[in-house]
Amino acid sequence: MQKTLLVAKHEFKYMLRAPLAWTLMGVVLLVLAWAFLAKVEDFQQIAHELQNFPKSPGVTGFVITSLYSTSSIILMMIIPLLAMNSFHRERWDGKMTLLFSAPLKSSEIVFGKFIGLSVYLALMVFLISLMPLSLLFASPVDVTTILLSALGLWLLLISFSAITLFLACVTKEPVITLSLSIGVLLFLWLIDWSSQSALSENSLVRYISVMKHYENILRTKISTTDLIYFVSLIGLFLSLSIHHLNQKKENV
Amino acid sequence: MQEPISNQNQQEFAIELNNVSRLFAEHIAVCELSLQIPQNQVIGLLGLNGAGKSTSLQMLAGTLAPSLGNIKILGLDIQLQAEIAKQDIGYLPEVPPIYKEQTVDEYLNFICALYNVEKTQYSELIQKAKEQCGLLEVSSRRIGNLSKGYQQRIGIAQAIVHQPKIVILDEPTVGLDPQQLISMREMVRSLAEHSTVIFSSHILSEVCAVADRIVMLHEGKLVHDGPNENQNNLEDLFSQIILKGVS
Repeated sequence: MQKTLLVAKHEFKYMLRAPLAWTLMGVVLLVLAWAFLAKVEDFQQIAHELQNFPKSPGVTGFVITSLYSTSSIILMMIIPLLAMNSFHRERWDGKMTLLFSAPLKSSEIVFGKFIGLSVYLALMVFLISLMPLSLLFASPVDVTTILLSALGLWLLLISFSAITLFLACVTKEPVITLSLSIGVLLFLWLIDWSSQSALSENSLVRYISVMKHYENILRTKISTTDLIYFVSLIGLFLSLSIHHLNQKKENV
Repeated sequence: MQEPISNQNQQEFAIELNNVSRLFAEHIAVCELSLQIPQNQVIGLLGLNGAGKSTSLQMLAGTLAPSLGNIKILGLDIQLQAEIAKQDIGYLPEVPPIYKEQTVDEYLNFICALYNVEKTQYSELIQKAKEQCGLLEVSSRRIGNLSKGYQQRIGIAQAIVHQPKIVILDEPTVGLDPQQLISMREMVRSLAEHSTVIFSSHILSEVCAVADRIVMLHEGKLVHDGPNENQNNLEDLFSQIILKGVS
């Protein structure tokens, strides 16, 4: 555990020193701030009309849920870049050899990198969450919804990063990793679409859909099924990454 | 087929390679390599590019598994007892594994932590490694801002900072100027007082200048293994290999 945390700390510190992490964070926050302000403005325009409806979504449903939904789409495109950078950058620089030649287990390398990435994503989610929290100054906002939505977004993002870390492990070319990662994450998105059509009766498709579980959390309908789903997804792809790294020495 | 080595002999050797082969798809990079290297010896691994030097060193460092055979480091199987065996290895790969965003001190601190060095010993060991590699004046500089020669020396410092019993250096003289080359030779000799050193090069004079024993590889096979003497014979053999490659 000590070595895992050492790798995680190193990974996180290294990410913060690299320009990519800051650039991506800046771009994401800028785009989301724009979307957030646009949504707040829309809400202000229709707020009077919404008062006439007893079950109107309010600022929480109208602005906050929308912000976290938009965040998931934008970050889905960003995660592959971060996770890919985590592995391929080190492979190019030869630094991966440093970790492989050190007295470390493959699991310590994979978990360390994953935790480092997860801490960075927690920071990103925290900064995104400051936007809806700022509404507290002007309007009553359901803080529980914000906290649950932030948790949901973070779980979604770290699941995506576990998938992308695995793909970065199994591929040598960063462009291939990027293409595959976007493909896989979009596939999980498309499953969600199909679950709203003819396949909606299929419980397996409904369960596989990552967005379905995310939406449950956004609607504050979080259940242990959703949590088990995210933990299983992360566990599966991290285990596959560890297995692959162990095999890699044999089959390079 | 080599005879099994007794337990008594196993303790005498720092490194043992028993019929080690490495295949990459159809290509045989290293073929049935067997070596027994006693402690505190300097081994020069000589060969042309593609002779199998780096592959052999990667297998010794535990970053690549042999396709056949086994490797023992201080009596421990590098594959089966990897975490314990790697504790006693310092490895400089072909490309120095450095973090360009870190300062020299930060980087060496990280290496000490990776190799389970006692925290109280960090500053003493880092100071010693910096002295040995001529890095004292750049301690707080960012690695990315230093010259290639310095980066190579930082790579060497990370391989020796935790005072391993086995030091593996893959082409350590690449990027060094003549002055640094002389310091490097002195450093390798001084390392042999406490460690077994195995280094690779494709320059015969480089190997002859430092090694106690010279191991020559060609097309993955062992073609010479003997003490560093009778350099004329070695020169002839190496010339033959070079000419064979040219023709």
